[in-house]
Amino acid sequence: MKVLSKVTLNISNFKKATLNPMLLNSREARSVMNRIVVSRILVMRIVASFLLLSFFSVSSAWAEGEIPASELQEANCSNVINVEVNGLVCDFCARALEKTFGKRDEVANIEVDLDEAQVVVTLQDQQAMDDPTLTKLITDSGYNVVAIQRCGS
Amino acid sequence: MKSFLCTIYLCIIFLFNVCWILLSSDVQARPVSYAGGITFMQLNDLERQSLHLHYSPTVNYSIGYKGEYWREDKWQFHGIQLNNLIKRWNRRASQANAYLKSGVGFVRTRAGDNSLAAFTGIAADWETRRFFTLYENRYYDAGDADRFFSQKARLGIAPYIGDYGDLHTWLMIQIDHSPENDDPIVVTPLVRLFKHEYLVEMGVNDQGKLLFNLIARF
Repeated sequence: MKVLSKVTLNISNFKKATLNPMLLNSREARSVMNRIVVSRILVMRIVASFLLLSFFSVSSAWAEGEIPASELQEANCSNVINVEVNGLVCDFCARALEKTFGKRDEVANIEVDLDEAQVVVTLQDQQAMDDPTLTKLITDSGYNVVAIQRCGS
Repeated sequence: MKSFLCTIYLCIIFLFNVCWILLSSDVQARPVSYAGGITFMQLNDLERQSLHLHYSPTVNYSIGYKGEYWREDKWQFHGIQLNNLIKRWNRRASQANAYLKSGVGFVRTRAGDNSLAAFTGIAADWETRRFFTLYENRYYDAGDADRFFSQKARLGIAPYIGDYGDLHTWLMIQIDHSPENDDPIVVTPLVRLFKHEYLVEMGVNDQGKLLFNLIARF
């Protein structure tokens, strides 16, 4: 921020210097020009550093064989099931969902959204859960399933 | 003789409840807890202290120990309580339930006499994330110790809507009606707080007596 304000100041000084021919030959004008050059070099260095950092992070991800962002999103998405549920009004009662799903080995995580009346079930990698099983677990917890949304459905 | 017949009648109701549960295993409903859940309830109100520890084998009912100590007449009840869900209405923004609660056991009086005892009653509630209502009644045949009917109603409002995992607060008013008491109607303003698996209720009734309830679900 400090650098930017300095650069702005120097540019205004530079305009002053170039517009006023009397100043061009003076010592002050040379000093202003020097400061502008130094500031521009500083800005260029910062930009170059950012570009270099970006390059390294991208190249290291590539080298480690990481999945591109779009594919990664799709892979995670296949493990996530959104279940729209009726009757989800009480936090204390909704703990039943955590307890019931928590007993299942294929479940990695469960999130309850009271505002949206939704339960988000995240499965372990390479695991699956069919709709009847999912519906039974929700029913065993005391709720009714309205809709089950899977990735791509 | 009349007392004995009354107790027999309540025992028949209890057995009827057991049969009803066994025959209605396909009902799409939830009991007081989830399938496999254990609930601990410790209630202290104007007349009694009670402990109820129940287990829910399925989503339709729960069964467990019930112990009560009635302060004024100093008698205690120990027995088995069965709670079954008659019906649940799940809606997007609300839930309503109707329960049948019954128990059989024995009463031990202040004099040390034991007698067979039983009770039964219905409970119904309706709640949204903002409002709560409840009605509950009970007929109690405590053998030689006592015999009475009582009912209560509750209205509640949540001053703020908490997210899942937050501390939830409810402001409630409870009205107890016990026709055989000197003061048949007692009003108790109370605060209900719950977070995760723990629920606490605290209040003071219009006679200055404390109410303290603790419920934990595992």
